[in-house]
Amino acid sequence: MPRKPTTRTRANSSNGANSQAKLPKGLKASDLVDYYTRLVQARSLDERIWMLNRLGKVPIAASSQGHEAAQLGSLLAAEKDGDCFLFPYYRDLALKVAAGLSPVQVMMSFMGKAGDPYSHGRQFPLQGADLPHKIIQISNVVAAGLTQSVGYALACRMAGDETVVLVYFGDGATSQGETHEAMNFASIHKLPVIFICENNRYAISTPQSAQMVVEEVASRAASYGFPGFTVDGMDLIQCYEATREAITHARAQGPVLLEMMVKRFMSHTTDDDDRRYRPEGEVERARERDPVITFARTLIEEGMLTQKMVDEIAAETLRSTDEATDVADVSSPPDASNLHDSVYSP
Amino acid sequence: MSVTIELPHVGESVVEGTIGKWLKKPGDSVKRYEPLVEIITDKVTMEVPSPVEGSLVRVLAQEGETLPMGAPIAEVATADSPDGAEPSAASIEIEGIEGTEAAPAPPGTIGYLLKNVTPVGPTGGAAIENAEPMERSAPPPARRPAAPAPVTAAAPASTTPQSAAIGSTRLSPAVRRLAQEHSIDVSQIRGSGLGGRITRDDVLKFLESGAAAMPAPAPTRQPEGETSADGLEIHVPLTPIRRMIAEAMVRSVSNIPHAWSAVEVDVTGLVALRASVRAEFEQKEGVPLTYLPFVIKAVVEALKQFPTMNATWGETKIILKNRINLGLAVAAPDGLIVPVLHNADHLSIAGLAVGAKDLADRARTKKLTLADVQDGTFTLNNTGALGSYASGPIINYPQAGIMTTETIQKRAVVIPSESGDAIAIRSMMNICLSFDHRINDGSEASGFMAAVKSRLQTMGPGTSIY
Repeated sequence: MPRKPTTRTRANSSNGANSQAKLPKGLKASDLVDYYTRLVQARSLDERIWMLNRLGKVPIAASSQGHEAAQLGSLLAAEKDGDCFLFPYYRDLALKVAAGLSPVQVMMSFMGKAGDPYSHGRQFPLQGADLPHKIIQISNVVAAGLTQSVGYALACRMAGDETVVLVYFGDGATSQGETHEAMNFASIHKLPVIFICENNRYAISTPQSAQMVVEEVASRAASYGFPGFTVDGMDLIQCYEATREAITHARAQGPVLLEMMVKRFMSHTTDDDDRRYRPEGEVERARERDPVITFARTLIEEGMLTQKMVDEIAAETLRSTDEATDVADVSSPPDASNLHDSVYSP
Repeated sequence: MSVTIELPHVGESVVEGTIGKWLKKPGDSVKRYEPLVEIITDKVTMEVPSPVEGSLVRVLAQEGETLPMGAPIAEVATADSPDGAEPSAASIEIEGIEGTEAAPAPPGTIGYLLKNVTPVGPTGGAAIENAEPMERSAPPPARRPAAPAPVTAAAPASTTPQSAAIGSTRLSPAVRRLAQEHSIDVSQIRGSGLGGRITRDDVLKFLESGAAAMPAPAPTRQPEGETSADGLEIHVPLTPIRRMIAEAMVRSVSNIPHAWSAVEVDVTGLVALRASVRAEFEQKEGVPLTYLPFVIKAVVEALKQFPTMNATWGETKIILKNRINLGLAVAAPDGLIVPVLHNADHLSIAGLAVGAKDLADRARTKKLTLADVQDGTFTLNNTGALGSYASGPIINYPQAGIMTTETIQKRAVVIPSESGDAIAIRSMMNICLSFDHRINDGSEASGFMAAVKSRLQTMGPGTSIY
């Protein structure tokens, strides 16, 4: 594995050639079309959740808009590997949707209905275990997932299996002490962990410049003695490739830090107003690299999709979102009689 | 059918919103989830989408109006009621709103409050519905019947049961801040919101009216209270302005490390100057000529010389203010208020006299505007008017300093001269300064005081006041 940040360019692969030649290792064209569909579905749900908050039906939401390529690219690598376990964080809606959470389940969870698959409406949306999809999110606490994921990786090692753990966090989490503890411990024991930092350069409202003096979070990996890479988190294929390499490395030699440079399109949460601290035009410029648009363009250019198919996917995913919204909207809130179910009570 | 759109509960302890801008106007068609109106809350400015597809029939809340969450804001006519999907929780239809055509009655007069927002849970935010909806015609029940009514005999006849208890009514942070900025006693405002709640509009209207139409304010200097159980204490409820003053003082003292200094000023020349021009000035300008404009002039010039006194602490930096906006502490009937003389360095002594008089008059008659109390950069307090000889003022946060002028007294003073010291009767005045020791040390503060002193001491008959 190379020791300098990956700087994959698409320029040398933009001329001629059939689509097969451009497919990253281990992927079929249908994989990319499938992931594009999941991406659009996630976006559609994400946008709807925000609107439902503005209608008073969703108490709070953290949007993953702008982070989807990083989340889906790494997920695709994990799926192809087949032996990974994921610890996402609160901004990973797209990851969970793409991993198999249904639109109805998503809406139930965000609206706090009895049908919420995680906690039946008791917890923050999407928090909990989704073991069939090998996903667990411990809590909303920033950086809490890192130490837990390292512990899980240690357990996998002790149990003698081949699992690689992917743990996700934002740039703000890198300022937490737990991040150091987790990385140091993982390094000492050479645990199969991939630390995926979705760096959108804002810790809520604190810009990266006010939070660290280094340009790249990935540079910190050197101090723990494991490799760190910065990749373009707006490029799904690049994130896929980097994660696949990282999985191979992690399984054989120990931790890897992958910093995926993403853009946060929305405010921190529905309770935040980023116009108070982001320069005018920043979000608009960021949206020029919206993965929903750029990934579609790439797939059309490479002959895997047509505009007609893109339109159909948009219509189909919107219909799923509409249906899910309506189903969840009229479904029941948790029944008071089972108040004590699904909660920890010693 | 027609669906009433309510101001949505957006969670996280937000209890009211202000209509920012209607993005659709009556007659426009609107798609489901299409942005309908911009709402400003304490936390965010957001576009609220329409929960249904249809055409906007009428808006029930005007731009700038502040309403509690759950208040009706618009009616949208839908082509048909979708089967099985109605009614949804956030669009409870409210029938029988009458009189909306010509002059929409304020929502509070209708008296329905179908939902309440109460902070719950670890993050303090969730919308809960009242288990039993209130009767629409019934007035909202008094939340805390035990709350003492601060206004009794002097209350205007129009006082409603709700407004009598406003002293203890919760205000939204935005409204509270607005009231604080204007040092308004909200107990004098009649709320037009649901349940008599005071909205931003009410505060603005109160300001515009100058409260001129109000009867004499309740005599707050004769506080009424409850006698304690043992009969040894009287517990006086805080008036809103008392609470605001208390909060402002605590904020200043707990944030700013105050240092204090005082100097004696020989104002014999100034006294003579004022005496020589006073009668003519008052006749010509129609305002009394006090010592205040002379002191302002000296302070303003000294601030020019010591810009770090006209500054604020910016944690990682010191922020120097290019404008000199002098706050003048005024004892208004309800309590202390500090109107601001903007660009005081642009005015002559005569101009300062007129400007200061105007501010003081309007402070006492409650006709100050928002601009009148904003953006002060330094504060002057004439504590001498109260007979004080020296005082330790609390800085008007976040300014760098506050200066007082004390009583002018004739005193026997030793005057050194080459032919031997002599004792003379001079008019003496102390000036006292509290300053933020993070921004300035004693040397700058003393320099500033010396500058004020020397300017005051050089004033005398012949000094131009124009």
